[in-house]
Amino acid sequence: MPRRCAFAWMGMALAVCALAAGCQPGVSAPPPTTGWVAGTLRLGQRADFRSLDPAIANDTALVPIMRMIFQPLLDYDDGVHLVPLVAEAMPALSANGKTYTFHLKKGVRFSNGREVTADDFVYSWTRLLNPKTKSAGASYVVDKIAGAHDFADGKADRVVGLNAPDRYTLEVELVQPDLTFLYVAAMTFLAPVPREAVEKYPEADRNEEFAVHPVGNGPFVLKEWRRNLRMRLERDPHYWGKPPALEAIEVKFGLEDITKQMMFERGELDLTETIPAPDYVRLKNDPRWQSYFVRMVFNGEYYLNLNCEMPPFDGPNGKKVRQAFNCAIDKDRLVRLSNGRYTPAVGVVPPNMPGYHFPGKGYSYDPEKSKELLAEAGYVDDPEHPVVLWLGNETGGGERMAEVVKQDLAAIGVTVELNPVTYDVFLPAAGKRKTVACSLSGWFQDYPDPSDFLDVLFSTKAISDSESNNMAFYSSEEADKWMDAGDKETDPAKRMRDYERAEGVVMDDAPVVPLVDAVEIWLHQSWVKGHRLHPVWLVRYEELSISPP
Amino acid sequence: MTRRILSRLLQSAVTLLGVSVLVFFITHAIPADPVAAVAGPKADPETRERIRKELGLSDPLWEQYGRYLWGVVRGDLGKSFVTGERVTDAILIRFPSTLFLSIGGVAIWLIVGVPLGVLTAKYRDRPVDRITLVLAMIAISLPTFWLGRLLQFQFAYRDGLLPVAGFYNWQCLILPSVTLGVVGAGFYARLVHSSMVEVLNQDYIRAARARGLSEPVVLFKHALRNAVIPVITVLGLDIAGLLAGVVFTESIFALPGLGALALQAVLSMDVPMIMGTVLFAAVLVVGANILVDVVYRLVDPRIQ
Repeated sequence: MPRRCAFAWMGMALAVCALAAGCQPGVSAPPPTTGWVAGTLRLGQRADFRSLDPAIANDTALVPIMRMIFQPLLDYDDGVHLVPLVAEAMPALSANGKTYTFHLKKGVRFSNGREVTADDFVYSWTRLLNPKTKSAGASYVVDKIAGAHDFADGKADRVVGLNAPDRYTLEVELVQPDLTFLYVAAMTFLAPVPREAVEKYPEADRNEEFAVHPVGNGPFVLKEWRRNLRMRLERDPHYWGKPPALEAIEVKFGLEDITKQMMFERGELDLTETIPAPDYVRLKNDPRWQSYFVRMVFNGEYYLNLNCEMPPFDGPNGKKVRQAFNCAIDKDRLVRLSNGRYTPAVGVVPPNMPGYHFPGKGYSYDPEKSKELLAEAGYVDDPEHPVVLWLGNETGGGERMAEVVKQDLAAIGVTVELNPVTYDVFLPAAGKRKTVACSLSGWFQDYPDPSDFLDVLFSTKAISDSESNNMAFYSSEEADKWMDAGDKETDPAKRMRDYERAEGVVMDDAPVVPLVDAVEIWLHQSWVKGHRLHPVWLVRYEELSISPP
Repeated sequence: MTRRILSRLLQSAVTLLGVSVLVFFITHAIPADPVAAVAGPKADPETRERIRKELGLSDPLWEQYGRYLWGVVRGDLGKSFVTGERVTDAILIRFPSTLFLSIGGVAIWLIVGVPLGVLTAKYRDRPVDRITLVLAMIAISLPTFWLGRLLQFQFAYRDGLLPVAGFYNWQCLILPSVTLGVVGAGFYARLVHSSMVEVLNQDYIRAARARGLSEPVVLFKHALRNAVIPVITVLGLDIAGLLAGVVFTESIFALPGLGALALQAVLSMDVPMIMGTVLFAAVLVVGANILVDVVYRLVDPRIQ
């Protein structure tokens, strides 16, 4: 090696060592005791929010913020039970089970000072269904409200199922009896917006302008939004309910998880929920930080989808192969490798569903039984043609899960090849018929009801030639029968029994391997009071306050 | 000169048209659906189809491109599929952050890199030359995503001397500018060094010294002026590249600039925003090329 080159490499190596030595994480600093801002909650986000129009906003992280600006008819109590919010009481249901009548509270006001009326709900829900609004929320109501399809398809000029007989009464006629409509009515998509605040803008820019100048009926109003930089909400003086303890909420954007963690530990942010794995282990093991962690099992589950229309999971022996896969995966190891950020999944419906009980015992980890089932099915492994496991890069911790699945299946003699792709590629491919034999996906609740998992992921109606949510392409007359019965049943207890039967059928047919349930882990500063996780909203900012530690 | 500039402008228009065609069709060749970003993963196929129609994505590709091009000709780059923002507004709002960051970075390149290049050429083969050039090589070899995170960790997170991230005051630009600047300073130190070494061996430099001119005058007035021509060429292109390519630095330090905007657009398959940011970057590169041409002639009148 020439002398100059050797000298350069030595210098470079020394510099790198010196820099690396200066950057050893070492021991954590204690939780900060200064840096808080009285009355202001400071949050951080990776990506900016798309829109503050309730018809458009569908970012998961935005929902707790949207609740602070817009309030729908119903809300949840501290658990998963619905309670009235803008509605005076829970709605009356007609004898045929198809019409809900909501009576609105008097004195509920938008931030422009005007009172919220039933007409505002008719306008807002009609706007949601208008294709020009380009609302993802339309999916939740278009099949439920009478006349919604005709309106969305341009065959009618109004939604016949939506009526406001007087200023404070809203009648909603459904296509068929459907108790889940009440959960949908609690979604921020269905919060009211004042017509005058939307229509004051030229038609071509109406939705885009309202998205950045929202007028809602919640406890906070938008004061400032600099795209990709920060957003500030302040208390609404017109708010009709109990004023929140916080005076303002500030959100900073563009923060990668590592950056956000640094800012949090320096006391520049008050809450964080995106703790990078190494920092989580470091802080979890530090007794000074432990009391500021808040954990909750959330209704979100990760599945290994086994396409029932493709080999080796199709045909008369496919069921045994699928059951073999279910017995082969060591879910406890998945949990250990995630440092407890998941919990093992037992059934296909996550655990926190009101009145719901998982039927059966599920599949326990038993590699020997897996081998027997594979032998009975006549399964022959061909390393030249392995089972290709697709995963999208946005499936949380998906690569690690997929590696465990690959190793566990190798232990029973099944060769698996991983195919990680971007989520934009994953979604259309895995949802297309006879394209992806095996995939890893997650599903998080829209509302705490078993139908939000069973109907959406395992019913025949959730299969289409492309864009299927039913990525296992599982179709069972018996499971469909129980799901349909549950969908139409108006007695809540009977409904749950119908869904339990449906899940029993699905579990026996094993179209998926339920891998793990999501665990939400949040960390807050010592000066944040009242922080507890909610099973639907995750965080309710109206409960929080800032006071010296 | 005017004819030359007009001719370059015409060539540039053709280049930009080519860029727009390429980006448009490549974006549409990617097996990803822009509607997914708008509708979210849970929308049913019918809702997605309605949104697709509203966005004009059901129309033939040539029709979509024609519509886009007609908009560009009228100065309208369209609206973001995802946020609804006007693309022109989004770019103009984010441009200052990228511009300030670039100015900071380029200032470090030149303030540190050029004197070091001159110094090492003057003291060629002495320890100061060797040590400086090794350090410059190390600087060039540092990946910005690693250096940025390291500086952020040490000076913001651990020492608390500077803000961790954001774009709220001038202090927020120090670490990102240093991140960008260190790599470039090393590069320009070596570039100026090699150019200066060549110039310092010329007869006219020997003549200048023989005339008794002071060393700073020889170095900075006679030698550097001639050595700087290749530097201007590279600098022009680098500045244009910087404005369009500060993705890592902006991401690490949460700067709301063009790099972050382009990255987000690509991740969400926001076609109008991808087109807008790429076209804007192309305009910068083409503009920088024309500017370099002009500056060449001003610096060295011998160039025709």
